[in-house]
Amino acid sequence: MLRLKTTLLVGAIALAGAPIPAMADVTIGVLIPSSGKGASYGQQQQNAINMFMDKYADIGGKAGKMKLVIYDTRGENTEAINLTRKLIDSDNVVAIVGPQFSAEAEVAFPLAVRGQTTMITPMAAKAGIAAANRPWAFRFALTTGNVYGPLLDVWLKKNAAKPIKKVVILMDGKDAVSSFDGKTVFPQILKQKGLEVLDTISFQTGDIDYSAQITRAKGLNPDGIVVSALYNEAAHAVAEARKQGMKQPIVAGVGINDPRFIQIAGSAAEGVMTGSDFFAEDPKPAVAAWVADYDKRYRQKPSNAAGEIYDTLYLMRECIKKTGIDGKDVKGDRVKLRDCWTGMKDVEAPLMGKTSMDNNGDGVRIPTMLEVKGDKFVVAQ
Amino acid sequence: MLSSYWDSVCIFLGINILLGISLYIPMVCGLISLGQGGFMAIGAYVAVMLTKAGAPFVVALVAGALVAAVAGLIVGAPALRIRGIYVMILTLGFGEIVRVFFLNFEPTGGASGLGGIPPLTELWQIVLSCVLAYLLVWRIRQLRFGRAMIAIHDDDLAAEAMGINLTRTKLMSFSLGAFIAGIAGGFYAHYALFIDANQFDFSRSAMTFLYVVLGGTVNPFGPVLGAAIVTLLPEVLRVVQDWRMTVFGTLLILIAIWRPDGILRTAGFRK
Amino acid sequence: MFIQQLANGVMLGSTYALVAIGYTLVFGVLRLLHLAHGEVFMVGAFAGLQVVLWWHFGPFVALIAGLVVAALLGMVLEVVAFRPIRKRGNSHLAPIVSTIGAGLVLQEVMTKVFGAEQTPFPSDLGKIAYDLGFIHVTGSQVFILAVAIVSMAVLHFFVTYTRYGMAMRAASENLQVAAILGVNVDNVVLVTFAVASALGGIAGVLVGLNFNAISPYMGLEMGIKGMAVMLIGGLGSIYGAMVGGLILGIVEVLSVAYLASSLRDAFAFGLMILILIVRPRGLFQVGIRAER
Repeated sequence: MLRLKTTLLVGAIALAGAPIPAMADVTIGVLIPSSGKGASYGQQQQNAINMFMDKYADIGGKAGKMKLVIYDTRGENTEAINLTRKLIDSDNVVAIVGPQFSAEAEVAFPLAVRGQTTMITPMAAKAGIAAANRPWAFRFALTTGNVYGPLLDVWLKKNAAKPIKKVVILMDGKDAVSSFDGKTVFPQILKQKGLEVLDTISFQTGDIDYSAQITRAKGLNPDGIVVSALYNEAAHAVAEARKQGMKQPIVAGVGINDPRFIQIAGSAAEGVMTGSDFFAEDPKPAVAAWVADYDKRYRQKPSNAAGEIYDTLYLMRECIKKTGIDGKDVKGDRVKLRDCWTGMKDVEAPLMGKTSMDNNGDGVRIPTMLEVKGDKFVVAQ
Repeated sequence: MLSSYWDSVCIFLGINILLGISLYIPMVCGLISLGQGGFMAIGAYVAVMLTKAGAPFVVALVAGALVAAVAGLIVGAPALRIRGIYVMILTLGFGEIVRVFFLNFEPTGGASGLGGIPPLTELWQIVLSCVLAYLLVWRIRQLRFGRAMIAIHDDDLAAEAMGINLTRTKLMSFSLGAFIAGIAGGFYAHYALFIDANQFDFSRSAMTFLYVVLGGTVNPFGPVLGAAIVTLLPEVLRVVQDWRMTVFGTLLILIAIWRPDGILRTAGFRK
Repeated sequence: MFIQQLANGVMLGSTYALVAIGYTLVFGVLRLLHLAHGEVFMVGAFAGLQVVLWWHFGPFVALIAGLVVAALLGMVLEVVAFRPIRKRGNSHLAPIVSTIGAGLVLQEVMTKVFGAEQTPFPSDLGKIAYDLGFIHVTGSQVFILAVAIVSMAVLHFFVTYTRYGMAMRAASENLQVAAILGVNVDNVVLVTFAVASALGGIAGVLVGLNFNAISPYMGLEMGIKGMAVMLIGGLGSIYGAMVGGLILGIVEVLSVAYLASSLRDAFAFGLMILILIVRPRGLFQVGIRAER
């Protein structure tokens, strides 16, 4: 009874003195792995999110502010499922940025489709997951196939003095993206370019001993080495290769694009090439300024994880501005945002430049070819 | 069919309860398995292959669970002759082997996992299964089979002397546990819609073990309580989000010290 | 190449052996699984890392640091996670729960302090290489082998000739009888933990030195493998753990060299299951009765 009276009272006051409704906030959901095994990605992402909100929280136009609801998935699929549902049904977000891992995206994307909410993962790189969940799912990261073609061209050209004809592929058999690249993407492109793959040798995420694999690779005497793994495992493999006296040029997949690759591999990383759309030593003024700012605030260099979520949030904001949504009609707003992301063409992202979305929902940009010189990545000459 | 957040939490809770019960049954017999994740994986993958081929959900679930049960017989066989601690490490090894198998088995996706699973799991199915499983365990003690299990746990030489067929009873309990774990796996797969070998790794088995040991190994409601606590605690602990594992770990230590037989200490019935 | 792979296997196996010895020591005396031992190994590695990073000391000091910190941690764990259970009636399952809990706490604390991903372990040892013609070893691999051999020799001496060592052996035969005979059980258990954890810490630093990076989660896999090795060698048998570790290292390396690396983990457990079926008490037939 008391409750009813209170409600009526409050309602009366509201109607009587109700001011013109303030501009609504546009609520975006964010899923990151702040704890658990992926925590360092999550920490980087949280830093980037903070930097973004400091600068861009206001949207202008009909919308008021951009409001972020951030949840920690702990890198677990169960959480990804629960929290995606929470964001869509309870928090009524108009779109979701995340999750981080490809496996999480696999379980979260179908929920985005059923909940009819745009979901864009800033970093998950597994091929086909966006394509399988059209039209609501998107991937910001580049499709690896688009990177490796030009990357191999530059690598082969660089080593034209001692032509590379036969290679060995070292890959992480436990990581979905690395193993897909190692088993399918790289071999395809290598074959196109007329190279022979002598063997594909695998290790596992988290392995600490690579001596057996490298010894085997060494025995095959390749002209070059292709590494498809995340920065950790790739660094170990590369270090072991140099330790055992293998001097062949090395090209690696996008997984190594992290300053820690160089830290862990040490001098063994010298000369290793890869391709990326973001690297901390990018001389472009916009990137350099951002990196300096990040470094000042957090006393560490930003990695791919930080850059990608920053740009994804920026593009999301661009879409909010462009579609003029104001957060009041959640269902309608979700559709408008989806349409904005679909067929996005050449929108300028602050760090990574012109970005488009292809028909599969995957990001398209022009990657830069990098090589390791000293203790950092530089643009490959 | 899109349900809310709590719906989802409940479904995962139900799956964990089934897993807890799946471990409780062999434990009544004194067989401690650290490999329920392996049985869960088998149930999941088999069920998915069948539903993708068009089989009805119930058929696929049961088939997957049956294959898991057979695996239970195979793993149970060497477990017959050895003692508790060895059984634990044996089942741990089994779980790892299953994981490595599915990591490499390309027809079910290998490291890339298996997606595009039809969304067939619903809350009522899970609730029904949990109720059935719990009734099974609750009643089993009245049945001859159940009494045999308890007798073996207490003193297997005496049990054998009294004419209880050790081999058959132990194998059956192990296999029954594997069957239920397989059902849990099938439900999981058709809810998450994507599975890979990592979903069924050692931490899955270790968590299952925790459900039972925390909740109480004597009372059949123990695994249910344990599963509920462990599943819901992270939600409750979101306040201490950053130190969740530390709080959880400390709680485990405290519970191990003060309630070594689990939270529910009594059997809850006249023995 | 076969000899080279064999050499690789021996190096890897020595680290497995050191960790497995830790498990087996605790099991031998207490009949309990110490599921936080992998995390002790991990903490030892980080202790060594800090010494190297902050004070720029070399590998030997790192080793001492890892050893000491691990031993201390092991003793703390005994007092906090094992002793109260022992005093209250010695449940078999409770220590497993409490050590799982302790492991989780250690992992999270180390993650908070050092970050979840791998931290590079700077070392110049890896750069020194010895080319002996038919095999190629690095300075760090030689170091590992040397340290492992010395550690095991010291352990053997300790267990066979010193008072505490003999008390440990008595306690592992039969704890109650040993107590009746005047052995101070609490102290023996504490020393056992200290020794077991020290070895784990040494192994952690060795791994860090040789593989150049450590992470708060490195204890998980090493932990599981350590238990498998313990079983292969025989629960409670120190020499079994040594030999079992070497065998596992060699088998794993060869399986990677000649088959696929993704099957590597399966070999550890396949081998273990084989032993369980064929020779359940382990290679050295020591320790508690396996059969019923």
